[in-house]
Amino acid sequence: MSSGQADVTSQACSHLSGSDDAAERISAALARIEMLDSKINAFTALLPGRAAKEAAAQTRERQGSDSPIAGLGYAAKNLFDISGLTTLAGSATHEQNAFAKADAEAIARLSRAGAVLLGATNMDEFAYGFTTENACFGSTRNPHDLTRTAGGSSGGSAAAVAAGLVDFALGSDTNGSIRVPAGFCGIYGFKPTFGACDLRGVFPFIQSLDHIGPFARSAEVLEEVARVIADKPHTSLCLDADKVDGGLRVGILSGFFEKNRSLEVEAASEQLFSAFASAQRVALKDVGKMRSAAFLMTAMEGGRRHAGALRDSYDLLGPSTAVRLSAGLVLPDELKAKIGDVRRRFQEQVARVFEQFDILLAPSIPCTAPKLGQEMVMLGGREVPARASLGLMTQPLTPLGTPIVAAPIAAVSGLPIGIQIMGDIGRDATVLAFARHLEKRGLLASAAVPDLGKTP
Amino acid sequence: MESWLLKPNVAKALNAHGIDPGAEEIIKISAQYSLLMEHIELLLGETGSPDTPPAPGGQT
Repeated sequence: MSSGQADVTSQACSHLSGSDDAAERISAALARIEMLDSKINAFTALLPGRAAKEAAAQTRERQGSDSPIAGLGYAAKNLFDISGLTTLAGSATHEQNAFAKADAEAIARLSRAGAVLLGATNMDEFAYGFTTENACFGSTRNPHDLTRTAGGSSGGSAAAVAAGLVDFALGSDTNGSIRVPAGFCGIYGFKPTFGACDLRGVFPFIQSLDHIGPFARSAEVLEEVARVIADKPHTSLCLDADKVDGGLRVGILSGFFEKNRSLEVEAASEQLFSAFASAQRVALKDVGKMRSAAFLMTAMEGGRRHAGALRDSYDLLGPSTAVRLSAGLVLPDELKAKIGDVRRRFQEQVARVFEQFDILLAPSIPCTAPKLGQEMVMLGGREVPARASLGLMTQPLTPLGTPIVAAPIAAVSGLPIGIQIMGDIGRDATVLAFARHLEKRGLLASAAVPDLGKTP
Repeated sequence: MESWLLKPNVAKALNAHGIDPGAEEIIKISAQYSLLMEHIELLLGETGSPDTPPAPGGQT
């Protein structure tokens, strides 16, 4: 085992069995999932046979492996094709579909790197939501407070990582579906540059917004997994360890991002931002307009994609899914050009901002995790609909296609709170290195794995 | 106002796609469409504001 590999394994698995034997660790992880998952409902399928085979191979081969993630156990949102499983995409309408014949490209890459797939995780139906309250497969609960949402749509993946059931997990992010659950669950999540990952074998939602990426409990594991699943090679980046900002030009998004947050998020994020004495505030224009454009784009394209399910299987769809997709389906085509104009202008504006900054910071969530079923939340001193508002911080940024790490703020009392670390397009290595830098300085840290019961 | 900005007859529009969800569902879908219209207003509204207010509800 290389020293880099040992570091990553120790960071990923400190909460699991201390064994260096992949087969033993994976077996213990599966036993822990079987014992504890009923409390959080993160998984929709377990793969003990496949996991045992992959782990045994790692135990045999690991001595000579230089992959830092070899032997780590992970889960994948159930919209990734997994050979021998039906790709549910969170929908009862898919339950009778044939098994996937091959793994999604990201999973195939992780297998080649020696990671061990333990199971598939719960999600909002068709990835359309921020709460993983699934009418068919049940709600995923937040490991830090079982009465609250884990976020969505990749809520099962985030909850599994936060509960210490897996070393890392894969999710997808179309409007914030990695960043929102990472924030609510107190872990790291990464949305790479748009197009950086091969999406073959991933059930699509909105093609011009779909991203895939990892969740992890450390910035280092996050980066190592991102290196495996991304197409573009990452370059190593050395930041100035003596400076809080690492020698980078840091901006803090203001305006919309300050006005639409809860008091808890304001306090925690401002405390973190105060560490960056020389950082400037950046007020982007038309953030709300961009958010509405993303909202409409999602409804419109989602409705058109699922018109067949609305026609043939309306009653099998979750009630809120059917209503939202139906409304989106009848939006006029004329909107496409208007949405495109807003998106292009916003992209041009942010490209100019990135001439002056390397990193832009903003909260990843507008409030802490609401209760499951909670209808309203308080943001900026106003009561607003909860489910629609949970993506307020992420949704306007997704159409930029920029790389963003969602990271947990250290030493938050109470429920977890996170930030977004955004770089310019293609600067994936910069945002990942910056997250690692802040973690080393103690400004970022995953929430402690909660005690959900006995560990086998 | 351009005609495509007017609220459509939701039941007819869905029927054109071969979808007939029933009267109760049409009421909910119509309410959801009204929320989307608020987003359309924001989308087409004045540009250049750094403090655009939060968009209206409607589940994402």
